[in-house]
Amino acid sequence: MNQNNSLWVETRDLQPRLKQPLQGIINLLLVTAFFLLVWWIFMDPRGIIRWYTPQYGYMYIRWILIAAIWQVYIFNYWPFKDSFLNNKHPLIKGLILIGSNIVIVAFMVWVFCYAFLGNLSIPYLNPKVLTGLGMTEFFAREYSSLAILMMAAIASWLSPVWPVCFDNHPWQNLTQPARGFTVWVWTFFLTLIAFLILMHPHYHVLFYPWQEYAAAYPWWYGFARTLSGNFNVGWVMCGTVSIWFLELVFDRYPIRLIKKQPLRGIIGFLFVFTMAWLIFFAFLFLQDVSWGPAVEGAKRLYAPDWRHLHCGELACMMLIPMMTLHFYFDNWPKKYSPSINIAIRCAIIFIATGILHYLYYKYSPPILGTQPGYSHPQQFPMAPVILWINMMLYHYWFMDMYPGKRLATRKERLPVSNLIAEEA
Amino acid sequence: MSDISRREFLKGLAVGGTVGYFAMAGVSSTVMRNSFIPPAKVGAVDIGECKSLKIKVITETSWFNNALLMDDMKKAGGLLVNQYEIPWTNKGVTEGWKGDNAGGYATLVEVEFLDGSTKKILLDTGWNVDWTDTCFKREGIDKMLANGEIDCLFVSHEHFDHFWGIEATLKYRPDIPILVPKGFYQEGFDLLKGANFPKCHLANNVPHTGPLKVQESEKVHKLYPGVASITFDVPIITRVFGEQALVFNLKDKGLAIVTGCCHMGIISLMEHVKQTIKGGDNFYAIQGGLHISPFEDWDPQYDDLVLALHNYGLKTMGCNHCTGYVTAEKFVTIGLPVVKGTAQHKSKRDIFLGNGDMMII
Amino acid sequence: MRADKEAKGAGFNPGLILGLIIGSGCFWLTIKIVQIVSQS
Repeated sequence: MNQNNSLWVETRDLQPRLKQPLQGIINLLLVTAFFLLVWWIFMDPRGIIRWYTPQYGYMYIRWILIAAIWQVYIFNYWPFKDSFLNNKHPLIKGLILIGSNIVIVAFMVWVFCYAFLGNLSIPYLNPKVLTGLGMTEFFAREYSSLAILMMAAIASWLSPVWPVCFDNHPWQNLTQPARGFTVWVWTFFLTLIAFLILMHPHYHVLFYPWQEYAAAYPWWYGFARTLSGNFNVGWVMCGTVSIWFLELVFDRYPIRLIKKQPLRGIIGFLFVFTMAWLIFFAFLFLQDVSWGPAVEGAKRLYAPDWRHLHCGELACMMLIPMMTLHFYFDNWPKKYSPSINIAIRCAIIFIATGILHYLYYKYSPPILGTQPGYSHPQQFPMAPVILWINMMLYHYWFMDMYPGKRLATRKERLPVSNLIAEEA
Repeated sequence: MSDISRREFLKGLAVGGTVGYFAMAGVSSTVMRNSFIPPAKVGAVDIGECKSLKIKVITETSWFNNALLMDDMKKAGGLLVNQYEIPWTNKGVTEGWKGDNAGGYATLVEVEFLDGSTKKILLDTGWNVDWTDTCFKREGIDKMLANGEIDCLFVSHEHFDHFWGIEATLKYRPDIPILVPKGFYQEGFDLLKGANFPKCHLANNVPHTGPLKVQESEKVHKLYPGVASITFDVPIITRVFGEQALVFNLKDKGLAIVTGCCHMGIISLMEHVKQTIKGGDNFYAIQGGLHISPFEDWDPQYDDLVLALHNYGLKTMGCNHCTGYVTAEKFVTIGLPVVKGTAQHKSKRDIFLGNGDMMII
Repeated sequence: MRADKEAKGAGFNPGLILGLIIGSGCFWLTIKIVQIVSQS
């Protein structure tokens, strides 16, 4: 593998401070407690800032995720040098990297979407523009938040495809920041195209009268049985989960067996795409089994568009056990052959997702301030789930899993022969 | 015979297991799906028959300035904040009622039975007590309550604009039988007993002394011959849960549905009726708040509803309040049989069955 | 040695077939559990 292609997060050496599973449990409890605190402060409808209105807060949660993916997978922590990453105390490093993450989020939402595109191109990307056109402030902000968060969601699916499937081909030999900017521009370009095709038509029908000249009629209506862009939200969410499956659960197996690029990338992308649709159909089916078929025009549990969205929500729930296993329990098991490791991990993830699903719908009202029930038009389980994931990513990517783990010291990292040579 | 090692066998088992799981997911969700999906039920509960309905809209103007209401919710933290914690604007509203943005929703449903006798049901009891009382006096509801002509108060759900004007009903008849849906929160029960909630400018000074029945969900509640109610377990904005609707089986016509807000969704409601009530596939009429675009907001899901509603064969529809003007316009454009109103007594447009209007089925 | 390898490669892996059956059965079980839980 090309030296330039090795991600710092993959080559760093994390040493445990405690033995497993105690280390994993303590770390997981700490990050969960932090998630609950952040939720209470920023999102909870009973809390302090109350951004879960719901779309406004969900928008920030989505952008935190993609900004972190860009920082780690696309830019490989640039502009922060290896010396900073290796030597800074994890709490200080974490604060600085989290701070950078928030700056990126603020830039993308407030500058790129609101000020730039919202003012100069697409009005629904800027709530003030919508308010100026006569909309209530509340819905102006909700509608624009939906569009902006979907941009982030699509980017969360497409951006990782380049480093994970394509190994950044054909730019793998560039150094940072050239490689980062190139891959970012390319994948964000694809994101914007996908957004225009998958979400923009939703806005054709969102406004009254229909915006027939400015956006295409939702082309998915005939087979999706809904005009809502939730159809695309659902399978794209499944796509973001599939890429994580490939990266975290499958260790890029069997795609990594294909030696040549861009063949590996193309097959990898098709693999992710197929898995996304498989997950999507499977969850649609499980909902039909639970509640009977969806009914066109219905609301809530019976609404086809809600069922599509819910597939994405159920898929995102799988990310919690997936990341817990990978980050907190060293992606157990590792000792068997890849196929056996993957089979056991999948079994754990599916069972744990079922348990999480049960616990979420039973306990989220008192813990997160949500309303009971599976289908509430103003509630999206993806919001708290992805915020929890964001905290895990902050912990894993930005803070070296402190305090459960620490970076290996220089002595621990150097081969013995080097140490001997140094001491001589 | 091949000589396979244990390791190879286990690898094959793992690969086969994983692939088999995903493959079964793909196959069962597509080609084999019908063998797993439960068949649709056909309604079997016989609720009897009645002759006709008169639906008098007492007040459908739940609030007078939509932008202000949305601003109240935005400032409080959005659509999930507890309604009892929102300081609703009650002063300085030019188009409001004496400066208050609060109005309310209440309807009188008079059902005529096959033997010619009648009963009156008060569906909901508004928000602003003074406004609701004024509307009651305009329509003679105050006298009907005092004379015991109204059989019961049917509270569709706990929302501020349907329930918080309870004092306006209780002052004329404190012992009126009240039916509430399963899902009422403690604050709702406290309000019935006489309570004060200063934060949201809410008070009831007349404790309810009559029978109170909580209508459970998953059941058809037969109220009178040809009249039933169904309760839905639905989480609703501003921390409310549960809504109930009235279903009437009109002889020689079909089913008529009267709702407060229909948060569960008209089509979901009709599908549920189809699967529970005998004759449930013959819909004649629907009247009430249909909660599609109450805040003049929109979602493409509502277009799905507008397009699909044609399939239900409704002969007449009266919509108002939380249906939303945009929805009503789309209903009319697509050719649904919307009954127009008269736009009087502060109702803004005749596309709604407005304050003081009547629908006879 | 080569003949042995070829002989091994020419045989099928019964673990694969068994795995396919068990995996399919596990998804069928998932459907059943979902049905039971949703109706409880």
